[in-house]
Parts: sequence; structure tokens; C-alpha cells
Amino acid sequence: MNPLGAYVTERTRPEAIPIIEKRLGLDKPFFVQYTIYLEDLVTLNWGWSRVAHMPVIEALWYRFPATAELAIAAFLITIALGVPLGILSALKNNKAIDHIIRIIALTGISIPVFWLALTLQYSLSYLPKVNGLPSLPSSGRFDPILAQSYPFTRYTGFVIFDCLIQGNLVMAADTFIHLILPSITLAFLSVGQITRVARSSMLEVMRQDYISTARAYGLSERVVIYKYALKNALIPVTTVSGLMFGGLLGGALITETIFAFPGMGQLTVFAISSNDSYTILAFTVLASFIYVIINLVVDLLYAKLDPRIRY
Amino acid sequence: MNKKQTSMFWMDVRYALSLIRRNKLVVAGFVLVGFFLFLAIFGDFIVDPGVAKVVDYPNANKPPSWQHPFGTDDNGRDIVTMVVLAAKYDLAVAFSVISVSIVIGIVVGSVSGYFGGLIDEAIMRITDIFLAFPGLVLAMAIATVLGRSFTNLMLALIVVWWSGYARIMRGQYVSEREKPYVSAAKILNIPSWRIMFKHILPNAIYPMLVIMTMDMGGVILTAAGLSFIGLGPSPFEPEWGSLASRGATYLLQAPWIIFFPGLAILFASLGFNLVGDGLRDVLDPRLRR
Amino acid sequence: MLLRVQDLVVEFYTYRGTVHALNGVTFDLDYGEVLGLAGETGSGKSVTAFSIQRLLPSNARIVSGKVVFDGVNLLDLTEEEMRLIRGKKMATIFQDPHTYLNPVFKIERQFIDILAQHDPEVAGKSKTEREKIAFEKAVEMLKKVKMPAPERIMQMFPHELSGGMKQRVLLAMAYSLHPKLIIADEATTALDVTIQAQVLEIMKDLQRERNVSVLLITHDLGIIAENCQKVAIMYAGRVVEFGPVTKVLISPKHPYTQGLIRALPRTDKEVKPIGIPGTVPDLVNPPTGCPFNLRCPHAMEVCKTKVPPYFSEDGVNVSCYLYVR
Repeated sequence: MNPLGAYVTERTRPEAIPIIEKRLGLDKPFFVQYTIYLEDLVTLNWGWSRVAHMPVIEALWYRFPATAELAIAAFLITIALGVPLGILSALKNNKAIDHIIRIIALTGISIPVFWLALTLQYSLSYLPKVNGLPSLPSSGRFDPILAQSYPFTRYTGFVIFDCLIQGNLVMAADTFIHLILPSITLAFLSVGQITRVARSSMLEVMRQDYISTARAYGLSERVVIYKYALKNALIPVTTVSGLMFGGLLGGALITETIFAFPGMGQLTVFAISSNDSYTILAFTVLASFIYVIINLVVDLLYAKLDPRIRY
Repeated sequence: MNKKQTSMFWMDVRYALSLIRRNKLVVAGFVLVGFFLFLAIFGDFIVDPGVAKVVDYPNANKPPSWQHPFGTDDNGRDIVTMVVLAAKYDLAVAFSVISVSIVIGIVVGSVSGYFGGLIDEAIMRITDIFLAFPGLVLAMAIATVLGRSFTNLMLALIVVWWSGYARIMRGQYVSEREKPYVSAAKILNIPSWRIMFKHILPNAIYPMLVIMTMDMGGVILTAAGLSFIGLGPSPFEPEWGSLASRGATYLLQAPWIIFFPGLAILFASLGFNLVGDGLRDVLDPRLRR
Repeated sequence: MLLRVQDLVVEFYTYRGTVHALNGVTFDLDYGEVLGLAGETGSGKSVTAFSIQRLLPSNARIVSGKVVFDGVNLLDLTEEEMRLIRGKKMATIFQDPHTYLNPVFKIERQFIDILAQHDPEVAGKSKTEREKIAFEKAVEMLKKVKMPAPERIMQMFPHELSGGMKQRVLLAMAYSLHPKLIIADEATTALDVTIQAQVLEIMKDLQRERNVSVLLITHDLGIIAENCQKVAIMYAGRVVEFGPVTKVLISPKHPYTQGLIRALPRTDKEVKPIGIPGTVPDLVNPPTGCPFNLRCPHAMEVCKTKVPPYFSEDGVNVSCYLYVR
């Protein structure tokens, strides 16, 4: 890939090219370029985003809360659905409900994100609307027309939060509704993963000897399952949920694009089609950074859950 | 392997097959995988490969009909043909990515796990760097740098996938190297590389088999995702993801353009996942001997 | 008679076929007695223990027989009724202390939960009171099993204790509810000899103090000789000889028992240990007739076709046609 590609077109005057090169620092040796890169990275001088028409860091900062809201919503749905389903599946091992849940989980990890997004959009947004039925919004974060009647100021960028503290319940609700389809899409793939991990982990735990001890001492089945087994079973689930967050970050790219959701992912996809390398690079670094932090948190949580691990 | 070992092996295989036959889902998985493999291998003979390169605008965006059971896309191409043709490319990508990744992963992981010490630390740090990036994001970054083509797509995916395998293999080697058969081999002065690959590898590879199968589905999905956001091959090379990507613009008028390629991805991926899942059920209790 | 097991037959359903784990186990155990259940690995000792408690896995079935405990046939009870008995009237100490304690909970949590479940003094009071009373009782029990610094132990996690300490904790838990029967399923097998001696010593003291009956399951005849009044020898899922320890071990009647005694290394006589030829039968396809007939030096025609019933000989029950009247 030619680093000049984003800045030079057929219409650029040949005399201008060396000047552009010099400006971009491309005439310096590779090692120096790398040092400058690191310096810029740390000082948050992430360059100019062509697709956003503003410095990259500002563009990402502005869009960060949207992606965060989406990711958190998806994460919550995944855990709230995935863990109980997995455990239920394990407890009713080999019965009908187990098979149904397993199939759903397996489908979840086999479904292409964009296909699901578009299918949901089509069936829950377009079709009902066309037939005069109530439908879910198919794009955007909130209804701009409605926002004019119920204006709100942006404090944190987390629109739902901002609206709530301003007492603007209408917009809060509207934003919430707009979140539904994208977060379900994003969550679907992850629910499959979590369900499977929760299920196999629970099955493994229930086979353990200490469960026999608990039963041999007459502890009620409820206590045995929800207290003794569960805490052990949740340990691998915690680990996986950290990794799964990485998938959410990636999936956000596609989901935001399809639902025209103004987050970092959408910006990056625009950047890809325009060859805006600064934006792409910045997003990659930022996403990885977030991923590392999340996994660190998960590791700490894991140490809390499992007393055998102590730092 | 002496005679008793060989006969035990076949007993295991027969038992495995009987388990597989009993589980209808796994059979379905095999059927799906077989179906797509068939399409991949014989696709060019069933449908006309020339269709991919032809543009037939008057025929564009036609809904499903008898001539075109899946409809036509925005270039007027028959979607059935396109889906069938793409099977070859998508499966080829999946196979190549997984096989190359596993080879790299085995080499790196075995060296790291077997020898330990500084080499292990160094290699693990490098692997950590790759693992620090969420999969799709890293693949996207690499594919952007390299440019749009099938090979670059594969390369990007290989870069993402190898580190996961390396880490797992390393873990396996670390636990296997303490086992008595390894010490025995060392005492017999068997060279290290032989121990690593002829002795340890067959034992260490078991958990990988399941992962590899299910990752076939994963690679297909990721490749499709990357194509969808614009990093796949050019529009004249059929690939399920890029087919769907073109269709996104016409969602409301011509939903079939996305629907059928997406369905193909779903079923291909599902097939591999079912097989992998079944493999796991088969291998797991057997390992507890 | 505290416990009377009669003709217990248990089967397991596996992919390899039906495993006939127990083929007619019969013995009884009186109040305050210690009964040893001896046999090789695979003879069905643990299965018997689990069957008495009805803690068999889901692929097992108690086909027939009776388990009369304190006057009640346990096989007739519902799961709820069984649950009330487990821990309270009969308690188990398992073999491997490392895997039988929940690794993510402190000792105090596991101990208190057990007491809170069954102890009438504890039930019905408020939660904090319950915990306090249970805690004190637990500490008392730990002192009884000679644990140093019991309060500190309560705050620890299982992995922080040694094997011997863990087993003593399990002992304490078992005795804390004053059960009538303790089942010790190879409770000392996983420990080294010195710890073994300690644990057995503690068990002896507790047993005498409270007049508890103990079903001591082990393959170590030496332990049985030192600790038990009666012994039941098991082979291939069947009790082949049952009687007072002195009689069975000193003058064994069943050929299998004789073989076992002959296989022991002796320090008192200049005799080499002699093994029993052959191998344990496959329980998926058990032999017809007496399970030992293929290896028995005295095997007769009838032994190969019909399972021998119990004959009484000199105060001992033997399942062998050599003693037919």
C-alpha cells in the first residue's frame, strides 16, 4: 500500500509530490519514522481524518460513546441470556430443551453478522412499516426530527444517560429503541459462545467429586446447584466473556455500518473505502487498547472468583 | 504401532462412527460440509463460470423465478450461479488459512513449549502482541495495508489465526513434556525434533482437531465479514461476502441478493460447527481413560 | 440391627453394555459395630457404599434387594426423604480429600452449610445466630479431630491445607451431625502411612466415644484386622465371606479369602506371598455360577452353573459349595 495513496490523485501536480512527502515525513529513514509514530501515538497526535474532516482523535472521541453504548448493551444481553441458557442446558442434559438450546447456540456462532443485521432490519423494520404495523427503527441512534421537538444537550455523549439526567424521557426512550436492533444483532453471535461455555463448564462441574460430598451431606439440590456448582462453573465463563468482547468490537464495524449507527466502527468502514489510513490505524490501536484493558479487568475478576489463583 | 495398537485404533474409529451415526445433528453437519465440498470441487462443471464476468444490466435485480431461482444481482448475474461459484473460493480460503495457521502454530508452539526458558518467554510475548488485537480488527488493518485480493485476504486471516493456535499448542507441549514417555525418549537419546513431532505431536493434537474444524466455520464468517466491509476480492471474483455487500444497497428492492449468499455462509459455517461439535463429543469421553 | 443389606443387585448402563456391578451383596452391621468391607479394586465396594446412600449416577439402577437402615428400607424412600437422612443419620468420608472439598469456598462455609441444613439447634433461628452457633460447633469438632488452630483453619481454602488436614476436616464434618452410621470409603488410601495411622486413631476414639457404627471400606486387610469387629469380603460384586474378623482372617473359609491371606507378606513366618492365578472377571459378561469358579483350585461342576447361596459355618457366612450341608 502506498502511503501516499490517500493524499495523491491523478490531479496532483508532479512538483507537489516531494513537498507532500516531506510534509508527511516520508523522506526520513524508517526507524525515525517509527519513533515519530510512537511519539505521536502517545501524545495523542493521531493525524487528520479525511473522512471525518477533523483530527482523528476528535472524530473517535466524538463517536466513542455511541459504540460504547452499543457494546455495553450487547454485552449485557449476552450475559443475561447466555449464562442462564447455558446452565439450564447443562442441568437438563440430553433432554429436549438441551438440544434446542444447543442448536440455537450453534446457529448463533454460525450466522454471519451482516446477514443477521439485514434480515432483522428487513423483517422487523421494513416489512412492518410497509404493512402499517409498529416497527423498530432501522438506522441511526435517535430520530433527528424528534430531537428537534425535544432537544437535549450533549454532556457525556452517552445519549441515554444525558437525556435521563436532563429529564428528557422522550429522547431517552427513543435512543433506547434505536439501540434494540443493533444490540440484538451484535449480541446474537456472542450469546452462542457464552451459552456453550456455560453449558460445558456446568456439566464439568456437576461431575466433580465435591458435588457428591455436598449431596452426601443432604444439602438441598437448589443449594448444590446455585451455590456450590455455580461459582465454580462461572470461572471459565468469565474468561471467555473477556475474549468475546473482542468479537464485539469487530462485529461493531459491520453492525454500525448496516444500521447507520454513528459509532467508531462506521467511521472506520468509511475510512476503508476512502483509504484513510490514519483513521483505520487509530481505530485499530484504540480497539486493541480497549480489548487489552477489558481482558485485564477479566483477569482480575477471575482471581477474585478462584481462590486458587492469587497474584 | 504394533498389531494390538492398530486394532485398538480401528475399534476406536468404529466406535466413533457409531456415535456419530446416532447423533442426527452431526450427520446433518457432515451432509452440509459434503454438499459444499461438492459444490467447491465440481462447481465449475455444474454452472457456467463465465457468468461471473458478464454484466447484463437489463436483467439486473430480478426477483427469484424459474430461470433464476435465487434472482439476479445488480449486475444481472444469476445468483444461484454466483453462490455455487463462490463456494470454491470461500472453502479454499478457509482450508488454506487453517492449514497454514496450524502449521505455523505447531512449529512455534512446540518450540516454545518444549524448550521453555527464554525462547518460550520471547515467543509468548510476540504471540501476545498478536493476540492483543481483536480478530476482525487486526485482519481489517492488515487487509487494508495489503490491498484487495484473495491472497491478501488469506494472509490477513493467517496472521490473525496462527497466534491462537501457537498458544494452545504451547500449552499442550508444556504439559506433555513432563510426562514419562518424553523422559523415556530423552534417555534413549532420540533427537529433540523427533520427540516433538513424532512422539508428542500425536498426543498434543487432539484438542486441536475440534478447534480446527469449528474454526473452518469461523474463517468463512470472518472472511465474509471482511469482504462485506470492502476488503475482499474484486466484484468479478465471486465470494459470498462481497456478493452480499453489493446487495446491501438494494436491501429494500432486492433482498434476495443478500439473503441467499448469506444463507450459504450460514449453512457452510453451521455444517463445520456441527461436525466440530460432534467431534468434540466423540473425542472427549474417550480421552478420559 | 442398624444396617441390613440383602441381596443387593446393581447395574450400570454404559456404551460397552450393561455392567453387573453388584450381584447380590449381603451383610449386616449392628449398632456401635465396625464392619470392614474388603475386596480388590472393581469388586464393588464403592458401588455398595453409593447404593446405600442412593447416590448412584444417573446411568445406574438398583435392580433388586433391600437396604434396611434403622428399620426403614432405604430403597423405598423418596429423594426428599433420603436427603433428610444423608448427613444426619449417615455420613460419608470419601477417598480423595483433594477433590471432595469445593475449591472456591472457605472451609467454614462448607462446614456451616452442612450444620445449618440438619442440626435442629441451628434451624429456625436468624441467619447471624445460625452462623455463629454452627461456627462454634464446627470449631469444637475440629478440636476433636486434633486440628491445630481450628479458627484459622475455618478461614482457609481447601488448597491451603495438606492432605491429612483435609481428611480430618472431612472427618469432622462427618461426625459433627452425630450420625448413626459413618461410611468410610477408602478414607485412608490416599494418605501416607503416618497420617493414615493418625486418622484411624481419631476415628477409633470418636467411634468409641459416641458408639457410632462404621462401615470401613478398604482393600487393606491390615487396617481391617486392627479396627473392625466384623468383615465382609467382596469379589466381583458379591460378598463371598462374612463374619467376625478373627474367624475370617485367621481361618479363612472361602477359597478367595484364603488366596488373599496367602498373598500377604508375612513377618511372623518364613513364607513367601503367593498370588492368585488368573484375573478379575469382566463385569459386562460375568461368568455363570460362582464368580470365582474360573480361578478356584477347588472348583466343582455345580460351581460353574449355579451361584452358591450362603452357608453358615462356624459363625461365618460363606458363599461356597464346599460348605454345603
